[in-house]
Amino acid sequence: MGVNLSLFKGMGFFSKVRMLRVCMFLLMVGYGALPAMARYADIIIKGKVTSGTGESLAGVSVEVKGTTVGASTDVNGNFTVTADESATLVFSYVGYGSQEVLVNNRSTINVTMSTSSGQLEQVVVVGYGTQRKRDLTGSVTSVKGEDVARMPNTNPIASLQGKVAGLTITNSGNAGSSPVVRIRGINSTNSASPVYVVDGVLHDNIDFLNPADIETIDVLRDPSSIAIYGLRGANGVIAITSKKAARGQTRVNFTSSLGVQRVINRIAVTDAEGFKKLYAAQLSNLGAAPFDFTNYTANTNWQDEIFRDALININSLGFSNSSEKSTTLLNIGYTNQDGVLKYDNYKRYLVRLNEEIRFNDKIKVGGSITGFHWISNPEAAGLNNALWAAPIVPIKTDTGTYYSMPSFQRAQVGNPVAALNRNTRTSISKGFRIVGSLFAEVKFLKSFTWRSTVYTDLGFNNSRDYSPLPFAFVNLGEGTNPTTTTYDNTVRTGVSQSQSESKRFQQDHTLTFDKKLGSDHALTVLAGFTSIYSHGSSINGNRRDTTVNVPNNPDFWYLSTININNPGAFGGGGSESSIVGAFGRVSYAYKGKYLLNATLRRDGSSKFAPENRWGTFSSLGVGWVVTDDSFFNNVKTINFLKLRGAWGETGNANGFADNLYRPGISNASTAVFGNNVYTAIQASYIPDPNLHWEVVRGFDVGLDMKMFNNRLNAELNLYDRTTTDILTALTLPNESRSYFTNLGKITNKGIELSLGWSDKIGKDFTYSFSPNFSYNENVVNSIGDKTNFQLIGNNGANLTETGKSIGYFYGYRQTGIYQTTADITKSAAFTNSLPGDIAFADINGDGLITSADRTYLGTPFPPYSFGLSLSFGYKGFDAMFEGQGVAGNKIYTQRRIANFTVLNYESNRLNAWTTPGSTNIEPILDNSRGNNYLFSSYYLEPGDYFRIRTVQIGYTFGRNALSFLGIQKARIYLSGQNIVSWSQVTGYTPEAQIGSILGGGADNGVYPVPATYSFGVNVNF
Amino acid sequence: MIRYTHYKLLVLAVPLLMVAGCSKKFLEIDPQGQLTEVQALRDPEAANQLVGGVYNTLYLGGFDNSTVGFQWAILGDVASDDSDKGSTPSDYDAGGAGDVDNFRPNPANGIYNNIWNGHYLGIARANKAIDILNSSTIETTAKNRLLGEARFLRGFYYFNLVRAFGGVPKVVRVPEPAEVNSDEFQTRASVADIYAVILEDLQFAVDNLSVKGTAGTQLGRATKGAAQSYLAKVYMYQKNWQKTLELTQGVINSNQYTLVPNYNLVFREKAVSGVGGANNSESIFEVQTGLNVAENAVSPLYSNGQGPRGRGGWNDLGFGFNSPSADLAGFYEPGDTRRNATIIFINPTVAGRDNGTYLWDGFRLPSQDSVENPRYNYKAYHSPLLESGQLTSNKDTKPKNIRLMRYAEVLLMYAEAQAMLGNAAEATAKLNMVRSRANLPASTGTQANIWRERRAELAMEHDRFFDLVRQGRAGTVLRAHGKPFVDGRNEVFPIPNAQRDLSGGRLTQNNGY
Repeated sequence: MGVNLSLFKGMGFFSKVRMLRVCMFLLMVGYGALPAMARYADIIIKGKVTSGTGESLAGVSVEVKGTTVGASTDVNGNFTVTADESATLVFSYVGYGSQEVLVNNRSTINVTMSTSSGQLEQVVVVGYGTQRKRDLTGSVTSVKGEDVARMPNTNPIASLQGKVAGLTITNSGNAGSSPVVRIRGINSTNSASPVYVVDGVLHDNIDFLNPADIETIDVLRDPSSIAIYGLRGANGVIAITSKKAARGQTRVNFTSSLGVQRVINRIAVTDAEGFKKLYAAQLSNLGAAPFDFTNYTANTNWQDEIFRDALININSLGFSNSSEKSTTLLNIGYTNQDGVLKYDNYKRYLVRLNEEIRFNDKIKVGGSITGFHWISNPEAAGLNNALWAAPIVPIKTDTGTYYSMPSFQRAQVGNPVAALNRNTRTSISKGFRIVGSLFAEVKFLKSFTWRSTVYTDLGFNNSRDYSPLPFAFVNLGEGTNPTTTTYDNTVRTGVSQSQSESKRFQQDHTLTFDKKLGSDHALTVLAGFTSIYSHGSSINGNRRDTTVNVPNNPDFWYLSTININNPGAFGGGGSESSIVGAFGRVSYAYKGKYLLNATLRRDGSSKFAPENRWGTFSSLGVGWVVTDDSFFNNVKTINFLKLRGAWGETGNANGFADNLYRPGISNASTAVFGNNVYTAIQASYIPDPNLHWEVVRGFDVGLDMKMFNNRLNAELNLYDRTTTDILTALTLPNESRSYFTNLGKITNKGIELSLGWSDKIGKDFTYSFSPNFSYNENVVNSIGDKTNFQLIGNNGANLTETGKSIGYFYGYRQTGIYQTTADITKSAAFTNSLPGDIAFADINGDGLITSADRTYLGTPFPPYSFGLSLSFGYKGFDAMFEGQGVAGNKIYTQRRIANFTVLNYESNRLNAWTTPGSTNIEPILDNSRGNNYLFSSYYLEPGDYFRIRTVQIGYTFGRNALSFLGIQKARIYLSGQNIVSWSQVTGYTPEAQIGSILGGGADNGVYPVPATYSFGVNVNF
Repeated sequence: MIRYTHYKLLVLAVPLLMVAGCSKKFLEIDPQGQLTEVQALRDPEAANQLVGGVYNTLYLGGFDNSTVGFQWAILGDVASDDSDKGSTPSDYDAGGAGDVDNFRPNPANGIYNNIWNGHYLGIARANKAIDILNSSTIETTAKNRLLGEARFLRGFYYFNLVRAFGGVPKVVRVPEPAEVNSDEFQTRASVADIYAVILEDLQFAVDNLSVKGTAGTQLGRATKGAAQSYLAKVYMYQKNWQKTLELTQGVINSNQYTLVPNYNLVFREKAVSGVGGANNSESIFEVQTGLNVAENAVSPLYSNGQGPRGRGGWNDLGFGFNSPSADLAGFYEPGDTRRNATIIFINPTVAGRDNGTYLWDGFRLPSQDSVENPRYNYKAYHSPLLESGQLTSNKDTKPKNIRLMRYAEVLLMYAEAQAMLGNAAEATAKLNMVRSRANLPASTGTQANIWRERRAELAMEHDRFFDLVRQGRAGTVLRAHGKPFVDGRNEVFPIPNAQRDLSGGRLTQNNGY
């Protein structure tokens, strides 16, 4: 290794990648050379696999445990496999629990698969390996790929909404966008998004995944499960396993769905008549002259003009082939989604090839490569614009001439349709991403497995944008002003281009020792090493033409079209970071009923100073399968009961910028001296040399239970998790620069309950019902001993401070409306309060309303979440119903607080205060009354909702029905998503806006989550 | 078995050695695309650019964090009797300039927070620059000059803050992270303490900066004259007339400044026959603008925010804020040339006749029915016809230099100091220099006359409100003007709620808010 060390001396960071490759190469060579060592007597085993009802099962995977040898059953359920006489066969089939059967020198083995033993035999991802769900001591929930594939969503994670207790997902209706995902509350002020692990590779973004190409999704929630992932895993881990080819079969699978999306909840705003009435009332309240509406005869519903019924089409075609020596899977996906906001569109093309070659039962190598290409046409107008534009204005006279807004909002609010049409198809945004992996696995000495994997994730995005000429506008005459048409000839065309690239390299090397010691002790030990290196760079530029207009034709949208002497701006930047870790895990089971799992990880990150760089994290979990103890044998109603408890400690460095521990200088644009523009610089932030990761510690206790002949499944978890040394970005008062430091402590406690009941009535009718519920309590224990700042979000509407939940709503509490001057005199009020103003609660009881009377008004993050799913099957028919909701949070209707000029009114303003006693809720129509625009409970609405996520009816054709087409199995379905919601939320979607940690919950033009009605097919050839 | 054990050991050893061998270098990653502070310590040009970063904060404006830009005009002018909010009645009203105009006590108003943040951003950059310069190894003369400039700007910013808010936190060095939340940095220093900082900073600048035009000076940089003028102004606010006199005397005796003969050329960009224009003979400190492709060397919205606002049908010049009041229009003595150089008057509409207003450059504004407000600030006007064209069509970034300190004000400060020290003849002489330039007959140098002259001379230059407060008659004058000015409250603006929240409530609110 001396050579190795000297090799790296004096290398700059540019050679890091190369060095990494050298490291990996040496490892591969070192281990690839290890020979396969032992041989035992093989025999041929035949048998038949049937279901509990006696039906033969085709396509059941039969694997010789501990080897790569395997087969699968044919159409009649028969299989043939060659294995050692003392081997164990593992039978697994989607929807059934896997079974292990000892060969014991038998040549015929018949197996009955049962649905009931289900879940617990299932294998879940536990970090650099897998484990039987039965042996888990942490809290991991699995969702089957088919439950994701049957949902017509472009993003697979979107389909998990409501399915997993403790997992909160907020979807966006924006075409191609990723949902916001939170696991067990918000643990940090800095980052709250989980990390995704796709077949072993760590990702922050999984846009490249085809929902139809997923085998399972495992959600790892508690610190004991995530500790082995080190600095990346602290917000939870969502592990995704892609499909592998089924043993011994050649299959073709095609799925397709076509749907239409529609915005079914419009925001209620006044129409022309209502607007005229309210604006006239406002002017009268202000004592201003009435507005001349004579020429404003239109009644335009701007929301109707910007929304559309949008198509969504998702397709996937998979080929798989598996033989004795190799398996191949090829999957092709194509998605085309229109946004409901004109003319938003997203197209996605995916190809994945997975190949595995088994040289013998000891050595296998393989790889996988995914190619992903997307094209996006972003929306061209803001949603709020359509809410704010006065409805009295007509749209346009001809294609190039639009009506401008009335003079009172002309400068601030544009014609929404003009904005839409001017900017549509003026942006070409594309991206490519290639995710690949190569692995080699060697089994030796019977109990050892060495596996080395190298991964890469390469992304390339580019966009070209065009800034077109404006339209002409008709200004309708008001009063003595005549109607005129204007055209702004100072606006010039411009183009911009941007490109970015990202590269990530990861290597994992693991050694596993897996052995049964005697009949009572099962031991698995894993040790490994991993490193991740990331690099990104971007470049962008724009240029404006001052002489010749650039045509509205993509052929011209390059910077080179415009002469170099024209004004423009150019920029670029880069980032680089790395993580190195070594880890180990011990899993031990005594007689299969006393379970122990322990992990250890040592991680180093380039983000921190050398002395703060390294940390060690660990976890310990214990479990007791009560039902395996002899005293439990007589309890017949309970089929399985496991009690488990786990503790874990890990670090969190997610979402934090590089190099914050040392000073940096950034561009402060310009200073002008002597008529020349000079470059100016500034210290970009305040460095904290002692910066280190957040520390996450937590307990998780739970029970897994099966009752009534395995028909009832129950899982209960209680957790208590605390993050300390939270990495927080403070904008220091009187400094205005950011300061990043370790502050504070946040605790999340909660309970999660999942139930599942499935049964049959008669021979043909099956049904299942599975509800889940979770409650999370968040409390900020402190934000630093020395630095007890309040952290402010969304311009002061949200506050984070000691003793309250993170990012809570902080403002005045409305008690009513001041009805009369006498009312104001006798109650607490602002010095300038007038009748018709919102009356606020005098929190500090000093008889006045001041900024000291702001108080806790609620939390933007839902503490209660619940979901349920019901499904029925009768012969070929199936039906499914899924619902989901949250409770306990508030939504801030920030779109209504805007007061920069006269805007269209939302319908609630029709009830505005006019005379004493007219209302005790809606203040007077008078936009000079600033107190009514202070953030208060008037702008909050309950965020509780229940939404029917999916209603689906399907029919599966029998094996013989379509065989003349070569079709083995086919299912067709009709599906409706988000078709009904119950909530008091007035916005487009009731889903809590939880993306911002310190300033969450604001509806400031949230993209609607549309209802989707679709038809789909799933065909196997 | 021994052989196998060796295998095992090797297998375990390899990854461990790999971690040791690869990781140390692997985790050493330097910042990408950033300069470091070490360079600023050695490189005079980097030190120069760091001070440039302090000057850069003079451009903070628009509706964002602001120093001397558009929102400062709201405080200095709109709050006073010189001007009204302007624009349409509802535009920027509650929560905006309307609150300031009508003294609605709204500590949540963003203008106050923007002014606070903008000034402290400038102060923070100055502190950092001073910190680095103090340990810098560059040549002493250059170092002291740069230190003087940074301290001049810091003193200037504190002077604005203390006038706007009263006592504010005293931040005169880069705090250690551990102490940022200490009471030292999170509570308000007294007004006297802040004035002490200002006096010390400006005195340092007076001592270390060079006289205009001598070696080491450059157009746009703070000079000895600028430092003397501001130090004089600070002493004037403290009624230290002797110091005011000495310092203004110093400026006058430097013989570097003369009044521009034609008042209307003072605010133009280009000199006419060598007279007036940007950085003219009476300009002592002025926010420079530069033409670059990014158009970021300007105070955004300064000109456009105050520009004439159309009612459709023509390409208007701006948002129409800070509209000079009828009271100001009626204030000028007959024949005062400053009236028509300060105010753009919109003519009433007369049927059948072109009654538009023609500006100095020939630009025609339509008559009242097509224009929102009756009057606009001529001193913020940037001609689209005869002054520097922009490289983009962004009207928000018109390159208008902001005149912060003019020789005329120095003369008036000198006159007031002489008047207060009982030297009426000298007071009268300097007062009449200013009056005669405005084509007005001679007057006598009493304090009352000088105050009148300050209003006429400096109207719409964002000084009036603070001057009225200094004179101790803001309440009398503004109540007479119809504003609900409350004595003991409205002399200063409220401490912004956002800042009080950030301090955890330790920043006390001003009286009456």
